[in-house]
Amino acid sequence: MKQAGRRGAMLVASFAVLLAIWHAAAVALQNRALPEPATVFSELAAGLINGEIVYHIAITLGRVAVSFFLALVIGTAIGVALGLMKRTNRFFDPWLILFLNVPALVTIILCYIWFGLTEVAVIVAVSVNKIPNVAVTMREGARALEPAYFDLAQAYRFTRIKTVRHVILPQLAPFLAASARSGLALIWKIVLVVELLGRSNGVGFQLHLFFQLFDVPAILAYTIAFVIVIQVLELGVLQPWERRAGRWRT
Amino acid sequence: MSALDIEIVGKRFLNPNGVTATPVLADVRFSVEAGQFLCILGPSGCGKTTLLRVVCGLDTDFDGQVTLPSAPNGSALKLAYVFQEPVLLPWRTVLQNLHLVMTEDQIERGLAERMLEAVGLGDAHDTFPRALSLGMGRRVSLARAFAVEPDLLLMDEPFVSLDEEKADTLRELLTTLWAEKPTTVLFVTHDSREAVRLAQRILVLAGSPASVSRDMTVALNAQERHDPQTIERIRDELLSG
Repeated sequence: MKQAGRRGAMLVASFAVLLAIWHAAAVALQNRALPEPATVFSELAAGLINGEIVYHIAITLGRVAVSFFLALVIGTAIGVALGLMKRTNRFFDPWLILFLNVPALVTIILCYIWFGLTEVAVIVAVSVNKIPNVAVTMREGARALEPAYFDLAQAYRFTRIKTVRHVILPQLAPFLAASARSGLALIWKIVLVVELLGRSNGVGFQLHLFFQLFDVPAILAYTIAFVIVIQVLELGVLQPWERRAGRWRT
Repeated sequence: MSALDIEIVGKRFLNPNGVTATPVLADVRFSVEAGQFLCILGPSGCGKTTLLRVVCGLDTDFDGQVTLPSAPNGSALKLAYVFQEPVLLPWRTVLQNLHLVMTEDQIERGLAERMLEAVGLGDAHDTFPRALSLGMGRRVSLARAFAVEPDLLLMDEPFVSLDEEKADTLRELLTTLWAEKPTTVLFVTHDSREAVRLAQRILVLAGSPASVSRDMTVALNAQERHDPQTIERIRDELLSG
């Protein structure tokens, strides 16, 4: 408890210093490109009250959630299959390397060309960007599966479902967690770019709009709101799940 | 219940070069009566574990045939395997590890709790296996095997690398559990004293590729099995042949 308290105090102090430096710099420069923190926070408060920020963040989060889920499921299926089948892996490995190295921007542009400026294009573009990363991580996970546990499952005549649930998934959990975590970090950045290029709502679209209006306080207000939401997801959902899944390690 | 029939014409392992193969077992044939405690004795690396894996169906790449006994009244044959290492799922608690291999009926009857009590781990239900010592893990593994009320119990050097005192406690426990509900047991070991102490019948595997070189019945009562001199005598007889 005491340690947690001290860590909390350190966190507050850290942000306070950052704000102080920002404030001092803004006051000294007196430039429209660097507004004072107070201006940004009143902008944030206004956006939250009239619901505009909430609306656009919700739209963006929806896109993040759907593509995150799809990327995780499809990437896991591909990765586990490749990890378990040597020959298949040798055949498809070059494809994986190719897709890993296609720039996100190229996928996005091509998806907009092929599917039009639609939600489908957004979801496909973001998922395709993430699937190869998930597949590579899960392939490592599948290769690390312990043969002794499969022997156990077979000797005691486990059903297939039982084997997946109690033998395979727990071994893949750390790799899934790693994929989920790096996935969230990557996906929300890509979603913003996708929105900027071809959507008429979402945080990415708003940032683009404010860029054209040279509205720096609004850009910073959206940034702060979005970073907070992502951190809440990380601390409130991903980390507790990881801790629960890793309870047996201690 | 019918007997367990084993008829292995040949079993080879592919060498790392992927071309040639080394024969491990050749012409291993024997049957085990229902309820018999059979020890398979042989030096380390002679193919004993391979034999058990073939019997269990973990290794199907061999020439020959294994006929598992049919279970009483037509139900599926219940099999239990005690591996050389405890092989407990580390992400499940001790009690969950037992429940996983048991039927609903066995769980409801509280068999898991009873078996854990019997192996002296009645207070370890919610412990995760990582927190157990090797000896404790072995005991859980033994409890798990008996908790399925097996028709056929396969044991692969379950007491190796324990100190003699702990191993002896576990042997005692095995004898007690087996006496309560005699099942067909195939017990693999390289320790001839252990074999004499436990088995009703001993098969010696020898040679390369290995085959059955002796088949001896051990007719000792419980008291004689605890007498070191008797054990030495039988052991000499076993190894002289």
